[in-house]
Amino acid sequence: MMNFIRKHLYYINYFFSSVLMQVKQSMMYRNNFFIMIFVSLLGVSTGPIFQFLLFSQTRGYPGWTLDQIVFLQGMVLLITGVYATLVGSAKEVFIRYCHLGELDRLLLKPVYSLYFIFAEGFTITNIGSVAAGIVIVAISAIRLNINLTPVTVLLFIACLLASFLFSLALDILFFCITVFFIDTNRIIFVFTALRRFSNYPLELFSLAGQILLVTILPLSIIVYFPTQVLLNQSGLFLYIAAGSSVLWFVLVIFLWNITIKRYVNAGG
Amino acid sequence: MTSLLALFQLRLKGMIQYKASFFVTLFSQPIVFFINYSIFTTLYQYNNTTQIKGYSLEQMIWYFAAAMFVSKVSFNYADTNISEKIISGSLLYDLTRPVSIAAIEVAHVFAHRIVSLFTEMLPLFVLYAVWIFPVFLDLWVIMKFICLALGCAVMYFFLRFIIGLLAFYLKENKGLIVISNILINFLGGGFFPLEFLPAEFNDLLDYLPFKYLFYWPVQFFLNRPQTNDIWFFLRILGIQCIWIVIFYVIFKVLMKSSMKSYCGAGG
Repeated sequence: MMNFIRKHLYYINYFFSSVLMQVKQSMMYRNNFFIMIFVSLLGVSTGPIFQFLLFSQTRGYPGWTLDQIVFLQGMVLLITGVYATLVGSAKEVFIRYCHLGELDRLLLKPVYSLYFIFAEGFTITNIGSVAAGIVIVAISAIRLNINLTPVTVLLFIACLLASFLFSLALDILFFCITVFFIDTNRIIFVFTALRRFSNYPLELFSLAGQILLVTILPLSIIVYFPTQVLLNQSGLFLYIAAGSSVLWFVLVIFLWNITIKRYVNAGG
Repeated sequence: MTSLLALFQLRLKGMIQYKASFFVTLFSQPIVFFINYSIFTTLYQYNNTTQIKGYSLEQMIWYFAAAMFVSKVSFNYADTNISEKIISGSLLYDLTRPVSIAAIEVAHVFAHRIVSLFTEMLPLFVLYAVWIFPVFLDLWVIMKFICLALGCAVMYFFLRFIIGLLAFYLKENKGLIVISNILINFLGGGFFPLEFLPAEFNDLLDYLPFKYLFYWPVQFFLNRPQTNDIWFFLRILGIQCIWIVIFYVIFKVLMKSSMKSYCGAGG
């Protein structure tokens, strides 16, 4: 048990060292650092801005009010922002590891390689999205008069954990694909396109689409269900999506263990 | 010309080196299509209307496809390539070649766009056309669209090259590259139809180059009523040409002033 705790403390310590190093690196070009914070905010805001314009100039989406849509878009900025800040550039890190042959060195170390890859994925400049998300969520939560009970808070935390597990599962799946395909700079676009499903209310999709997004590919767990929990509108689908996310994570870890055994150096 | 052709071939080979990876990329377009199709079908049905901001459901869905076509025709990495070369010092090698650095970038752009035509644009067109047939298209519309899309490609190339050259003065300009990319798409109608923005703001955009990069070529593709007038087409093409001349002059001035003060220390 002590060994287990010590091992995980070491990984947490490594994560914070990595964070500190990357903050220092980012501050080398201070002007560019602040521009990049603005860039990250601008980059993730275009989708929510369009949805706001679309909603405010039409009757909107079935079952959603304007305030609820603003709340959902605030959650998009907040949840995707937090994930992008913590491990946002892990995919680019892994591509670099593979291309430069650095993965070989990492695999020789007596540590679990995924921890190291994700620890280096920390991207401080995505903090802009988190800040904007907090402001939008706080304002719209007041307007919607959201009541937080202990049960709601616990359910929300569980939902966020499932959301992060599924996001991690998608990233690990990308790592596995990179080992097989080598050049995956463009495959990132497929994953980015897939993640766009999580930015919209589930009600927009056909019944078949909704079932798909809850069961086989539970992208709805990333933002939609955490938002629904806070709006007190969650149902059975939430538990199915959360269960599916955990299953995805377990299966992808299994796939990763197989993939890494078959890994052949492609770098120079 | 021979050197340019060799550069073009080299780039082409590099791009299709990993074929399997290349084909997986094709899956991103059906995903985007499915999202847009779902959103707008539900929105039009729920609003019980045939037109939103003057666009029918078919035109609204095709708007995003047409914006993607223009983006695929014009997209280039001139800014990133040039700024990386300036910062790393490898620009020195390019300056010793018998072709200009702009010509090298042109060869890269051609290679990228030709591959993109067959692997991205045509499959994208077929996907959308099979699902929602573009009844508004005819040969004359396609020809007008191609002319404006090519004008957009030239404008975009100079614009991105100028942004890349700013690395001579800013040292680290990654942030500027991404900001400019987002702003060009946002203000040019690459992300969504500009009719959703306030009318006064839209009028202001007439005096900026961005609208002529995405919005107008897309309007001609959708065969919107105002685009049927030949004089209107010539007017938009003329404005594109004026912006190309302006960008070319800025590009020349920047190149001249930066080359005067450029000093390579690598070896």
